[in-house]
Amino acid sequence: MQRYLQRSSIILWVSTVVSICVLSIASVFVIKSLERDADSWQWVIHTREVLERLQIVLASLNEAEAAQRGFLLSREDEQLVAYKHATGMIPAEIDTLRELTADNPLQQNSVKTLETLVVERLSRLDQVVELMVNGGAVDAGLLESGRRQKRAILERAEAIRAEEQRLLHERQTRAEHARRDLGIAIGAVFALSISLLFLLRILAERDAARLRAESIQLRNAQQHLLEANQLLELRVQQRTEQISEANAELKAFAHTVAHDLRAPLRNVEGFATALLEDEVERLSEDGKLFANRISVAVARMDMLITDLLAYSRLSRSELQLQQVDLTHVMQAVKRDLEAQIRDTHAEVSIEEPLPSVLANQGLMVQIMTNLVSNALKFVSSGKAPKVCIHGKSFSDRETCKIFVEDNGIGIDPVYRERIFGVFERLHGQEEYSGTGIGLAIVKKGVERMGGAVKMEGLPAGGTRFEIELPAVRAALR
Amino acid sequence: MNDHAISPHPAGAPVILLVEDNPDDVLLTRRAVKKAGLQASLAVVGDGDAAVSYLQGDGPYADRQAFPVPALVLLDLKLPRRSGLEVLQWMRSRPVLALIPVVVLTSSAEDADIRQAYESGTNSYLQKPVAFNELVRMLGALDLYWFDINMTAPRAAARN
Repeated sequence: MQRYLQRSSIILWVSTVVSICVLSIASVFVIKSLERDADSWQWVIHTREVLERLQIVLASLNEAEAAQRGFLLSREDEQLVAYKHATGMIPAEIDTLRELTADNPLQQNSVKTLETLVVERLSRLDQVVELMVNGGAVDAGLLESGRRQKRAILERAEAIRAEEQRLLHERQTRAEHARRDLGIAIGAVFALSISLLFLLRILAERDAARLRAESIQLRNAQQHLLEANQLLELRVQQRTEQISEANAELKAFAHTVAHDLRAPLRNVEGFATALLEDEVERLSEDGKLFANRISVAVARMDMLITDLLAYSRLSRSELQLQQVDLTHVMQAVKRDLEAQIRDTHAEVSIEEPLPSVLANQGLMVQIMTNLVSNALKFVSSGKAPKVCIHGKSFSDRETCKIFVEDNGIGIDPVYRERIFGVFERLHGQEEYSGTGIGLAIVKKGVERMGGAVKMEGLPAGGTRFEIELPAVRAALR
Repeated sequence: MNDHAISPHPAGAPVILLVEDNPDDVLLTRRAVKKAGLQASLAVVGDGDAAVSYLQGDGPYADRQAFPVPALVLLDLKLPRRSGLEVLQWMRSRPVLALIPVVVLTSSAEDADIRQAYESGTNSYLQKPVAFNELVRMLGALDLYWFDINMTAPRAAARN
């Protein structure tokens, strides 16, 4: 975005600079053209001046001739004065003509020839006037040569005029070209200026439009983000409410189960026992058996409720994690299972040292009790259970492992995942009693403490459970 | 036997006030008391308000001869109207009744219930056992502990 804006403004800047350069160059060209045009017109004026001067020379010559002729006929002094005046002007005019054609050698030559001819002609006129004054006679030969001289002068003047006319034409053409060029140049500059203005305007407009579009996009994106955020917040709030509602319901449910579900159960057991005690003489053998069965079923139901509550408590309650010494945990477990160990003649060996883990003391006791209790329970009949508990710490890992190995009946690999489910049982009640919640509590408990549990069969038969939990580093102890 | 261990009853036996709404539980508890051969006699009220009335000696319980101040209260937590916890808290706010030992006898073994009961000032917390004979055993132990072994605070009210 930033880079794009920079690029866009660079394009605008470059366009502006290029426009200024092009306009400057075009302006210089126009000024040059104007200068050349003025020059050309000067030359046109110059040519006209040359022709004018030439005309004056010829006119003065004609005037001189007319005045001489008039004098010859009338012998008046007045005519002689006019003649002198006319001839007196001619050399100056020829000088001016020479100056004017100084740039052109060809015309210079022609003017020189013309001057010579004019001087000759004037001296011939003077000669005739002198002859007349002195009373002499003018012969025809003299007059004839005078006429030849006049013709030569006129021819020469015609040549000069032709040449000047040619030059004038040439100069006029050049001036016209220059003017046309100038017009074209001005037009081009005008067109170019307009185009550049338009180009700059378009560029600036496109830039502005893009900026506007971007700002709108940005605003829209911000708006979307804000809305998404609000929606997310709302959803989180709703979910939190739902969760806390569900949690409250779960708590209420557990409360009901704990308080109300047990009462009728207790009463059923109480009255079954009352039957067996108070009415025992009137009961048949079957009646006594049934009453006993009622008591056993109720005890089992009570165990189910107790385990279920223990399992649901895992989800409901906050768990305080602390450093737990597994040696202490195993002491408590052995104490809890004392009767079962004694009755089954089990051998429970604990390989010390056991690692310290970050866990909940009470839950850890519950988990290990369930695992060891299972190991004691699930053995082939007549076989003494052997349970081995050992641990493993890793120097390069944040976790440690605890193993519970038994010599029991093992678990079919097909059921390895299922055994961790609630109420999952692989054996009939007659074979191995239990509620089927023990391993579910183990799995859920370990997971709530940030660990993992898995099981595998041992080559020699039996099962090994492996619990992985966050270790407590020696430095923390 | 200690003089303070038992509250004197007109009939000579201490009275246990059982606060219990379930008639089946009342029936079975009476039977268990009989079976355990308790020295104390049992007075029963069916809800929290009735328990408060009894303890105050109000209304139907005005006659202290028929309804003597109990030496021990067996209190269920889940009761109609005023709950067991409320009864307990009310008792503990009364100068005289505050000294009577209270044993919570209820179905729940939930941590929250146990903690709240002790916070409200119970002296003991028992979970009603499912097996009737367990109840008999429990009541026998209770009788032995609270009336033979344990010493309760001497009550000024006992003199009137």
